[in-house]
Amino acid sequence: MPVRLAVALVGAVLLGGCGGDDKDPPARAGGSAEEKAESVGRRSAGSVVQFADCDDWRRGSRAEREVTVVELRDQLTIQSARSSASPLPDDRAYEIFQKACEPDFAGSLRLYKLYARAQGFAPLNE
Amino acid sequence: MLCVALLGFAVPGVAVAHLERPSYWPDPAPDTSVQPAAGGAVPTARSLSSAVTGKGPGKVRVVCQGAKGKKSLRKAIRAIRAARKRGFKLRPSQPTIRFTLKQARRWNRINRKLRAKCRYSSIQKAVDASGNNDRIVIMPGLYREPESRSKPLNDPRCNPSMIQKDASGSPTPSYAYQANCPNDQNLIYVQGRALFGQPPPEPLMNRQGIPKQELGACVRCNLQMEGSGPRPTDVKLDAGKDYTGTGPSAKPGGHTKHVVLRVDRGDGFVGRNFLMRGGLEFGFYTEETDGVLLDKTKFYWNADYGHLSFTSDHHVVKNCDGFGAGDAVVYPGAAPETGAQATDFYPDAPRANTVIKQCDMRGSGLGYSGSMGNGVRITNNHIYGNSTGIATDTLSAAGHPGFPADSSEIDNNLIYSNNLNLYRKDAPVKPLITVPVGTGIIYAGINDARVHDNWIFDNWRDGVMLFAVPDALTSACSGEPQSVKFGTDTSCGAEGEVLPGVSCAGAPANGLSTSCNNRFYNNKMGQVPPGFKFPTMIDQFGTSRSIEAVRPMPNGNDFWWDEFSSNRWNCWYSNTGEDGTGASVSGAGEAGRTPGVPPNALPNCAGGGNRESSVGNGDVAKERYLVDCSEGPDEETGPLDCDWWSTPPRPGSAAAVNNSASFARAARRFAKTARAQRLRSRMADLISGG
Repeated sequence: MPVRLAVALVGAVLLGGCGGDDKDPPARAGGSAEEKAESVGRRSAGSVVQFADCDDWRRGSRAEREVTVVELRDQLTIQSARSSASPLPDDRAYEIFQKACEPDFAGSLRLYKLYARAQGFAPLNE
Repeated sequence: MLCVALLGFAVPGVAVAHLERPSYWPDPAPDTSVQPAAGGAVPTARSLSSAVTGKGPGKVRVVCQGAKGKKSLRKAIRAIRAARKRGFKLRPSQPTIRFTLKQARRWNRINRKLRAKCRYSSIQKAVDASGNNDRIVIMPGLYREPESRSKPLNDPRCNPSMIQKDASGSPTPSYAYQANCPNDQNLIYVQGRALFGQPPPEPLMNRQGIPKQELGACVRCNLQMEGSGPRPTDVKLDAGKDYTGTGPSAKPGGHTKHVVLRVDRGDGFVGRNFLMRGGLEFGFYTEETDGVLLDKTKFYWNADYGHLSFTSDHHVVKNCDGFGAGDAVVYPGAAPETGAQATDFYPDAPRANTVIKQCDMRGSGLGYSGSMGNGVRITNNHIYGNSTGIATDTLSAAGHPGFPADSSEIDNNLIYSNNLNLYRKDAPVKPLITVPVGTGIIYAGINDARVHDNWIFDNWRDGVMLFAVPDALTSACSGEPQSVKFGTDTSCGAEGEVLPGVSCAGAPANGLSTSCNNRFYNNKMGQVPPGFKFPTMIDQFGTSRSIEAVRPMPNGNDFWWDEFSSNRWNCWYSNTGEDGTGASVSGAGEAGRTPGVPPNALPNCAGGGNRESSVGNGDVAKERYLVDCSEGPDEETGPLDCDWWSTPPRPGSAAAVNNSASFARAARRFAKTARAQRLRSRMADLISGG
């Protein structure tokens, strides 16, 4: 789907070289991982944002997680005609999800709820 | 087929509570195109007996189970007999209600007559057949609505053609989507208004009033839906599957629909005396509705929220009971600006637009939550056995109209033993959110709120927390565009206009619009009301609590305030602590002078008479702690690291004393570090609008 592909490519550009598990497999066979990756989680009415949780995050490949961060940011931050920037950099959001999703109990935590809170305090963070 | 794949250029339609279309507050005036008028006030419920006599406006449709309603009638008779012999509790904290013989006979008569009138076995079909002023009476039974369940999710009839997009291209289901595919997401869907026109190509910044170009006429306004059993649990609206256990409290192993009952633009709706169970998201959901009364309703095992109202006005939820929510039992979000930021759109402001009263909110991540819960009153409830009792916040601001949250009132509640630790493997309820275990109330970025005359006890971390949330998610049309700081070029925020009346100095231009002018008074902290007994259901999920015979039941700390620099007019007065005097109220409040050392005096504002005397001077240790908590759980266990994910030690125990002292020492050390200096600088930058 063109929109998803565009998101994936944007994600690849923005997140290239940021943290994550380098041992993760490519998102899909055939073509580059970035081109084929889709966000993690159950898609409802065209978006994963409502339902994606830490279980989904853990299951995702690095490329899929990166695309997920972009989709969350697109949906949850200040929007404008030409851009949607956030005080929470994408690589930092990725790092936060990696940590927050690690504990045994964290599987059901919704990514968008984690994202919104981290973003709220991002201007005060280092 | 209506296609609304719109590309807006100013505002996203996402509601952080739920992916939803760009949402507007309904016109608060009554809609007189129907008689009686719809909206404009909280609707009044019509009596069950009038459903039999046919008295009053509208047609009555009866839903039942079994051949000619035999099964439902049998269940009704059994339930009435039980109500006569053993009685029942409407909610666990309340005394047993026992039917008199006269009452039992009357309920029997009504149900027999209803059986004779029964023509429906599906609630959805009865809804579809209904119009304005009509009523649906549901006889006892378990309503799984097989036809609704069989409808596909992401139905190709509506998806993607009726998806409404926001500025970034983020998709949300439109009103047309819900109306044309009512059971895609919903087990039971009530479409209140006709489809009409198209939404604006760009969502409007002014969220006051559903745009006329898309506002259809009432088709199911003033609809009343009610159960005919003596207890709410006699009529179960059920979206769950693969249950463990039996009975109304049985736990679903899965979910078939996102929402059990959704009322969309259905002004004047009354829902009474039934249970909504097993939604993947919500039990009850209403959006853009003026006038909703829920009475004697229960919300069990809905994975996200038991109840969710969004951009809805004249709303009362009373005599409710709920548990098993991964977020909150009750959630009025994006409530109208009928408080400190009211404009002439609300000529009768200030007023509460939503009242939650006489409810038990328990056994969940949160008992109550409400992002942008403007003008919501929470009164006379029991809120217990959750991880956190109440949270009202601006943290999830994007897409929630109404920033900053203001004018919440929390009064005359019992808020206790909110120590349920869901942050453990195999937790009985799957947590969807991160909140501090052991907390009574969190005000995360609210203004002009009042917390008074409550009993707040046995919450092992904090009784009440108040802290600021920078406007990172928002910006203001009416002030300097905050988003410029983050590299965007818009001049308006994600959530619509910020209306006049912001209470923080320099707001909204400086990016610090929250946590000012809040008052906390006449609360009894750590004290237990005379004659109090724990409801038996407090132990349902094994929350930590005090022993019943022990008095008092202190909180870990009564009041926690972040003392954010420049936050003004926050006052604590006439509260009493565990020994019944003001001297025993605990709370860290001496702005910045002794960071993190409770107890010390909170700004009293001369008993509330001089609010100017309260200004936050900044406490870097507390702010560092909050920032750490904002990033969710991690493995760090230093004294200033976030510890929200475990049950605090019992107040007064050696471990609790040790924790407190350890935090205080670490706070003093931290205050002298370069990191603390950098944090001070960032706070100063924010305040100066830099």
